[in-house]
Amino acid sequence: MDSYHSLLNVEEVKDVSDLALPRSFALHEAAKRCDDFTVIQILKHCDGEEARLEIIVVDVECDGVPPKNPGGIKYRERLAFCVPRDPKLLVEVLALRKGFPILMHQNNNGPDSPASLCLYFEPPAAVLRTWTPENFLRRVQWWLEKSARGELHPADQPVEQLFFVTKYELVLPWNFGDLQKNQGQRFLIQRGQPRPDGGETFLVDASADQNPTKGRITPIEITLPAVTHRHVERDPITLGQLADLLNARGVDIKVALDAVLRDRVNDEGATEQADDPLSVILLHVPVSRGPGEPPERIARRAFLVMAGALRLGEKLGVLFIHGGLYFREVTDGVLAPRPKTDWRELNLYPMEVLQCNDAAAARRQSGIKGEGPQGVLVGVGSLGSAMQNLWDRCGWGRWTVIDKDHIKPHNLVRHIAYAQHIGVPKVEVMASLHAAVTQGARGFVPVCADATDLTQETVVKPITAACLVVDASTTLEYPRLASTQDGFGRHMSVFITPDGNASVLLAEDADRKVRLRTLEAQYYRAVIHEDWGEKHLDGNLGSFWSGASCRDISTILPYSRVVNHATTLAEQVQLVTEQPESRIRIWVRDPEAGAIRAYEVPVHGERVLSLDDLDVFIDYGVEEKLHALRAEAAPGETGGVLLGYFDFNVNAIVVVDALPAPPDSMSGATFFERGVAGLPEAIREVDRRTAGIVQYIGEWHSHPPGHSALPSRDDMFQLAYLSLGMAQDGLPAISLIVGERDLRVMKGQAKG
Amino acid sequence: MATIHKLLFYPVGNGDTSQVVLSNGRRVLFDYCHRRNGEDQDCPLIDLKSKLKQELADANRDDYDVVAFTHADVDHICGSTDFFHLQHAAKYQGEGRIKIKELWVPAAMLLEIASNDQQSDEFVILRQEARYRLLEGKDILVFSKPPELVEWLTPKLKERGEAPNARDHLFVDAGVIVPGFTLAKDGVEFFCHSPFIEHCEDGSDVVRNRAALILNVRFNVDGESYDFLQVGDAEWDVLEDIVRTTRAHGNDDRLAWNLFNIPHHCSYLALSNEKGDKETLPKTLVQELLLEGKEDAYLVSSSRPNPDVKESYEQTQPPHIQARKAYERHLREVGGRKFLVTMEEPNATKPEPLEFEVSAGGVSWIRAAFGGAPAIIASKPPRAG
Repeated sequence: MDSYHSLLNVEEVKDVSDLALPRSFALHEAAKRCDDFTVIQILKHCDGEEARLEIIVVDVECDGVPPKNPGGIKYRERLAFCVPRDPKLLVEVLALRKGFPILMHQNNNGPDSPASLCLYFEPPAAVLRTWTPENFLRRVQWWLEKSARGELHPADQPVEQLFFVTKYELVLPWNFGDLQKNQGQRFLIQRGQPRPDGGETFLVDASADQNPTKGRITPIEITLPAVTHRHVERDPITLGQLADLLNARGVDIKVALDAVLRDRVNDEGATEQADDPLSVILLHVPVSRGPGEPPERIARRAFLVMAGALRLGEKLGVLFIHGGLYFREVTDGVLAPRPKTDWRELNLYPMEVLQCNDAAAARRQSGIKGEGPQGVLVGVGSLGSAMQNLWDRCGWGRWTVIDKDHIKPHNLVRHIAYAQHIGVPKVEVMASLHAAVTQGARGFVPVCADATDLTQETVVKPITAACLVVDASTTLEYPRLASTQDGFGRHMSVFITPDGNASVLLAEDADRKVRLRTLEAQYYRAVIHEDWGEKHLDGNLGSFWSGASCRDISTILPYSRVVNHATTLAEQVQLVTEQPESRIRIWVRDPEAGAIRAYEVPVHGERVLSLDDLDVFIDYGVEEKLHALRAEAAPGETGGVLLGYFDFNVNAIVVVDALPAPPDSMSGATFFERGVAGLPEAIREVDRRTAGIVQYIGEWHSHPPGHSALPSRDDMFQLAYLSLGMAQDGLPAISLIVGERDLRVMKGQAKG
Repeated sequence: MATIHKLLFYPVGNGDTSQVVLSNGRRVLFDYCHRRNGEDQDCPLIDLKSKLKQELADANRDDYDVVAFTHADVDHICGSTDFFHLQHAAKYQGEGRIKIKELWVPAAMLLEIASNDQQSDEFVILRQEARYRLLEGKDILVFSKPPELVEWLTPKLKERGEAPNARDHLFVDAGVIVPGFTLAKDGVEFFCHSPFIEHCEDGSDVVRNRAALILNVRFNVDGESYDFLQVGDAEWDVLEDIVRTTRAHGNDDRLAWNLFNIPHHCSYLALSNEKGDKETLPKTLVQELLLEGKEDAYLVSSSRPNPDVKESYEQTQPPHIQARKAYERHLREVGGRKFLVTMEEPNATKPEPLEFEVSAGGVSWIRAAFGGAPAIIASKPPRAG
């Protein structure tokens, strides 16, 4: 036969009509209507005349409770619904059966009192918004069934702790476990600022400065024998109860406390003023999966005692006070005073023990699986700093950041830096902000240098060692240079277009067969041909600054636009890093509607044709196009102009595109004469769309069926003509011939 | 994944249809009672045909591993020859019919005697199907092997040039485990309580019930055993026979139950020959069987609603409230949970199948969705003016 807790200070309500609170009446009626509930008794708890609480005692049956559930919840349970007079408070549910299991999601009521079920996760106001007696009864059944099935815990709820609410928090550093293994390591507790609601956060400090000054408390630490997983117990509310609880686990807390507290006083005694206003007891509880198995982690519980260590020592009888000084008590032998017991009545206040995240915890909380790469971020301007900040917070990757600039006042509008950082190198700012988030939980290396200066070891070494280099530099210098370097890690470029309405990710494949150089060229080809390219690079400063400015955002732009793309790019870099393929992806945002559209450009491989002092790079996308145009015109010849750009910094000519023959071109089986109709307009448009980067670089034409790309006399003559023309700009000329199966590029340069 | 078997009881009025769905996906259907008016939205009876088809479609299959007919009464076979693919004649085959990998029938079903005007009755069609499968020598198990059946079978086998014992492997006797399912592989075994041979003396209606299939279905989940007593329409004396015989063979554990599908739509005749005014007093051995219920056990009555109101006490046809009272009293005595009526849950206007979960924790009733808005959404509200 089950026995039940009886409620104290209550009297019976003889008749339902005597219920004074509308909520308890409604609840009674609902319980009566529901087959699974049987009303056993009605009680009230009075405060003078008025009922402070009305209590409906019921038996509830839950068919979803498995008969042999590990928690030990029964099919039929007796509950007390305690309805408070204040309608802003929730109805408390007490489980009256003695032996009702201690489970999570119970409020902390202390031992030997009925368990108080924690039915809701939300605050009372949120619950009461939709509360009805009927859904409350269902919730009770739901709670019992879910608890019986062990399914009642939110994802980040530690399994062993009761769902109690306390105003006090104890915050451990992220590496507390490792620090603790250090024999000499001592901890101090720094009191935080008391909050308006009386709550307070205490921070465990492991820093080198170990002088227990005012406001810093030395915690009383006790390590318990291992417990098994899923062990849940109630919090004691007095020191005596804690002692009993620990005694049951073979730990004599008094002996432990005595030893700790005696050490706080030397032979000269300690002044009363030296005592702290309170003490923190920190219990370390190793948790193992099963009996006899090694502990898999350490659970921690903490309690606040409103008495300093010295006063506590006095209460325990290990210290005594004389003339405002605490001295050690003689605790054994004939002189020892009688053991004291009033310490048992000291109140304990449970503290919620929280721990700062390490990288793994941050990733778990962010839903990120992979650790992320050993990475280098080149450029921590507006975009780079925002992306780095996102990665820092989610614990993704270990980073070296390279940038040579420092923070200027105007940067604060579009950078994560603060006023205190003005004049500080951007990489140092990033390092300090990183530390402010992670407290050193992850590595972070700032390198204040020009990433294009490959003579510097501080630059080359991390880039060579990295699995991923993200270029957020806003110039073309670094990505084009990096493309010439074998032995570097996989590179990705990210940038925002000048008007801030689009962003671009160019990602090399994991083996770097396709490098940023050709991805850049293929991206321009898409800008030239795709609808989204129409206004893509509008607002660029190309007409004032020499080229290469299409990745620099204009000077008038809100930070929100940068952050918007930074969030997209930060996630996309993470996703693309998981895949080995090369990618070209573009996101276009409509600032009016806030909508974002994504575009993907197919990537082609690249080949290089070396021409004495210059290399010509051409991707298979252009080649395919040329072969297709040739086949279309066969048996006649065809041709047109070649588009691309020169980069003398890296001695390269990059072919971006080939335009088809203008309509007024002439051609036959053995000749092609390129016309001009519409061509100047077309090239102007290419220039406009690509911010002046893609230009005319030469001509191409096809050879008839059965012929190779070997140049004819006419071809050589044409090249000479082109060379002379291009020489006026100081540039070489390019002539490309498409044969039956091959393709040949010639360069002509008029010597000045 | 935790091992979870399911037991389903369908609201088919005073009739029977239940199903075992094993954790490994195998399905055993007991009886089939589809009534035409069940297709009508306003009728409380379930549209069994559509329901079962939907379940199978959801499981991506068109067959049952086993279909067991406990006996050939209409309320246990009604509509089955429209629903199942029968092997013996092309007219019972075709698109949409559900196949039976193995048919379980009591021997009495093969011995049914039919008058000329009964030839198209479903019991005759099923008799033909069972006979066909037995002669073909596959996809069937026949429970008990009475001499009449042997007399019929032996010459037929001789015509086919086969020995008289060529079909012995397709017969299952009372007191043994039905082949084809094991605790190790499926987490379930079926122990045959009935029919005994002496229950099949002739093929008349009276004997149908006496010769019905009664099984102990034992589930094993992660080392824990739970028992389901599946009874066709047996009367008290058959139950007493079973208790007596089972005890005599030392198989007492097969009488225990965590879930008992009580016989004959809660007829008092399954407890005693006397109904009683307020409550039926069960015969001694039947009472012993009722007290074999385990703590937290359930009773299921496959019947029309059986409320405790004055009129119920005067009913001649089952369900009998007096029987319910007796069952409930004994259920309380063993610390059981609920006496559930298929046509009462979650309400009598539109009952839903009773679903039980058999997990390591035991047998628990998984409620159909609560009332309120979900129930309104799922049903047709009355016409608005």
